Amino acid sequence: MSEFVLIQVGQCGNQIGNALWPKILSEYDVSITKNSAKLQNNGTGLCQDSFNSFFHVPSAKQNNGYNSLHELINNKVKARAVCIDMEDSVVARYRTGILKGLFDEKCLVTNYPGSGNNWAEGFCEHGPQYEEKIFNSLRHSVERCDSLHGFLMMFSTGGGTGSGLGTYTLNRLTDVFPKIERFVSCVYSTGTEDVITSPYNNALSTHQLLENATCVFPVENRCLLDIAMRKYRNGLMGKSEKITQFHSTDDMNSSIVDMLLHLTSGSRFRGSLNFDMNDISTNMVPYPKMNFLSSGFNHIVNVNEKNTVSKRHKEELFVASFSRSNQLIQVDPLAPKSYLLGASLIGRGEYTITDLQAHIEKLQNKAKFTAWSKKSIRIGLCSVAPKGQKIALFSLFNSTRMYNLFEHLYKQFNSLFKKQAHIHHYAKINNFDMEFFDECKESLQNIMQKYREIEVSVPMNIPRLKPRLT
Amino acid sequence: MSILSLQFGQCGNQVCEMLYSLLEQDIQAKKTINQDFYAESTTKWFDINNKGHLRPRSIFIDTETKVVKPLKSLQIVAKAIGGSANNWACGYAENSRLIKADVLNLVRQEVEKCDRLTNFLTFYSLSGGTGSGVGSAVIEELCTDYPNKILVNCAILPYTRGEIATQSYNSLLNLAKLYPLVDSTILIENERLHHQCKYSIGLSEITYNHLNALIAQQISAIFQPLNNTNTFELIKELTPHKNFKFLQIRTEPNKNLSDFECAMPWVGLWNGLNKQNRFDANFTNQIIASTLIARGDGFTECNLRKTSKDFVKWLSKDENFKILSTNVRFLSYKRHLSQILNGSNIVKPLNFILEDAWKLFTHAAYIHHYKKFGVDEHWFLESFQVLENWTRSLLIGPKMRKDNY
Ligand SMILES: Nc1nc2c(ncn2[C@@H]2O[C@H](COP(=O)(O)OP(=O)(O)O)[C@@H](O)[C@H]2O)c(=O)[nH]1
Ligand SMILES: Nc1nc2c(ncn2[C@@H]2O[C@H](COP(=O)(O)OP(=O)(O)O)[C@@H](O)[C@H]2O)c(=O)[nH]1
Ligand SMILES: [Mg+2]
Repeated sequence: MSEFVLIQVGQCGNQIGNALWPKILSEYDVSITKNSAKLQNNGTGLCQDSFNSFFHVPSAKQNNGYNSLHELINNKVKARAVCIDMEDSVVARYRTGILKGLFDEKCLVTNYPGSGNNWAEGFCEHGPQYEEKIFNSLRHSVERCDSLHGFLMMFSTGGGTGSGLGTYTLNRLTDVFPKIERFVSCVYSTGTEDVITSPYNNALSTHQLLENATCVFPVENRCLLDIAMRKYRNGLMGKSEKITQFHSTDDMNSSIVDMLLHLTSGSRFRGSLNFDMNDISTNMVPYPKMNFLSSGFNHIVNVNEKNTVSKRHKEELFVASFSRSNQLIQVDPLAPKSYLLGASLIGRGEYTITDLQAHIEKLQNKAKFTAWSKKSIRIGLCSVAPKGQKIALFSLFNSTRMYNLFEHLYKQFNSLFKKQAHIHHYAKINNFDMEFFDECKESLQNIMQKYREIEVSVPMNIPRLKPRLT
Repeated sequence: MSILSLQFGQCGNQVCEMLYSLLEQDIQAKKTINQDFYAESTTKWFDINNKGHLRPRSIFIDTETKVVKPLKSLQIVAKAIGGSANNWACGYAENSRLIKADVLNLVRQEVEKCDRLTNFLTFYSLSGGTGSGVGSAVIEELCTDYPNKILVNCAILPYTRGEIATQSYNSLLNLAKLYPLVDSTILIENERLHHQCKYSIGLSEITYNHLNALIAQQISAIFQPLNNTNTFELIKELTPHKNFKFLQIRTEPNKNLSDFECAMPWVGLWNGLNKQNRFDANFTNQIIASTLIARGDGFTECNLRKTSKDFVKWLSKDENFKILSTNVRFLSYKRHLSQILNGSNIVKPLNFILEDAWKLFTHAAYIHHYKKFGVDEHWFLESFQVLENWTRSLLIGPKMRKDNY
């Protein structure tokens, strides 16, 4: 069974983890509270195999499923996660909070007092300093996998630890485990710019992501915020939870969590047209470094829709999946200048090929493609829908309009860099080379250029080879 | 005579799961009414264990355990290496190395076990990574190790609208590698099957199971025992020339045993078969060779009007068009007609592959994924050349006179 090792770095990464693990448990019908009424006794039974994707179960303890966290912990089941932070507060929750005992102590790497929202501190200082400790944890986790599918990293790009130490770890993964894919879901703090140096940190880490990640699933806080507000307006959140702009990280993170669960669903569950995580890079990354993908799905699941599987409902889900307001990044796959280099559609639950072939046809008519990419659409069928839903549709796009994100990062970076503002925080770090700045600037320019070139390129019409008859 | 089948990848495995359950159904139905057939068919496809259960003589191969696990067959070679990333090169050059020795070992054991084992039947989809890539590597090896056995290769073509971004590359690389090596390749078009499900069966929601049910019928209608015919020899005769080794199968009826279909006279079934060519629209199908198999009650050849204009001129009539019949029914169809043919209309799907793959290739798309595994531009170009050559000969060959060939 395909296994993942999650690597959560920094405050943001670990907060996402904090929202993710309870949801994973609930997906497998494992209740977190101690004395909850027994579920209909099927616990993880249904998806026992796929349970191993995110959890290590000691081989002597394999059974027909667990019903509660309590049981998991008694059986020494461990989350496949390495939690790294240069401060203690968030990771401490894994030691003392409700998930206590689910994480292997060996896999919690912490320090005090943080990375000062400085990429250089994370990358150049903490990186080399903590490398051994981090990779010991990673090796420990990897050894406990039968068939490791990939690393799944989560961190923000705007701070210091996730951004710097996260991308440092990513770099080293490339060398230490060259054959294992590296998926990164990173949070760009657009819309919640609370860190003055974030433009530098964003740019420096983005350069590393372009170079070293197999695929990146970026998320922008401004999009998460919008979605959270919409959910709120639709009454999908508890009445007591008040959304005030900057204190809704939990609500915002829940969309990232849903995305991650969708993303890994094809690798975890059966389906008559299987879509593994490893297929993503082949299908979605036509040229090296064009590895940033936008993801979309319906976020507003109304109670009365949960049980319908009608054609009309499927149609709505399809439209929702590419609608600009449902992307986790500000990219409109159908924008006038957006050319798709690839798209994936995963139907979860009761989907048929008829449904997906119809979706493909519609997408081919609606969206713009390059001279060669019209058929660059991957479909997948996953038999298990998200918890509590009958059907769901998840989509990924590789649009040339990812340009917008890079342009935004570039502009913000440049406006500080021109003035050489805050440079000294970076320059003072040992091993930080001013060339890092030039390099990442160039890297952003290059990637923007690449997307532009595709948008304006003219189709090649080289005639096919002449047959040679024998 | 017995068959060892090998299935690669998810598609291959799903198709064969259906195939063996259909065969079992057909065999069980004959248990009391036709013991000769029962015995022959059983030894052809199955081993019988000491409890009297039938076990498919078949090897299931995948690189991802999710898919293979639920199948009841005992001979499974599946290494959980997380699939082949929809990349032929990954399957061919990398994953096959982890799996090939095990597979060949099992094949050797099977061959030693049954001395009457004559032939291999392989199943996989062209467009994925495991079936297409690992399949190529293993089949290549089988052809070298067992030059005297006949290998009939059943390959499934993807929907033309697209399902996998690299489907045209994977199909191209697989065909270019295997076509010269294997005796015949039966090409099965998902698109055609889908069309059939929709229009002749009238299904509105189509799943892979529906397609697989049709494939299972096609394969068993051809390969189930038929008097004393050696099906593999028969197929070999259908591919008389190295440039024409692609075969297709058609069957009638396809509906599930409705009264109307059962009562359909032979001539009606024959017309039905011919009508299936409509799927190819304006494409005239020049037939190089074909065999018609009639299973069921009271068949006489004079029932059929033969239109010889569709046949190539450079083979004699006998070589062109064979008719075989048995009064043993297929499943519980009163009359069932199947045709296995070597025709030029296969150019149509091949052309799609070439067209799509060439478009990607000239824009250098996805190449870096293949280069990682040693499949470079040169390799691609050679594969293009090989496929262009046959497509061309399929187009002009059938129109030639005998002395040109
Ligand atoms: N969506 C989301 N963004 C966060 C979260 N925590 C922090 N951020 C953003 O990430 C940036 C700071 O990164 P942080 O993770 O605190 O830094 P680090 O601990 O040094 O890696 C800020 O701009 C925050 O807006 C979170 O839980 N969810
Ligand atoms: N007819 C049929 N085609 C299938 C089935 N499953 C997958 N396919 C086709 O096979 C292709 C995917 O290949 P797959 O076998 O999943 O890849 P692999 O596991 O890497 O070999 C797609 O083009 C599908 O249309 C099936 O059960 N029946
Ligand atoms: Mg597969």
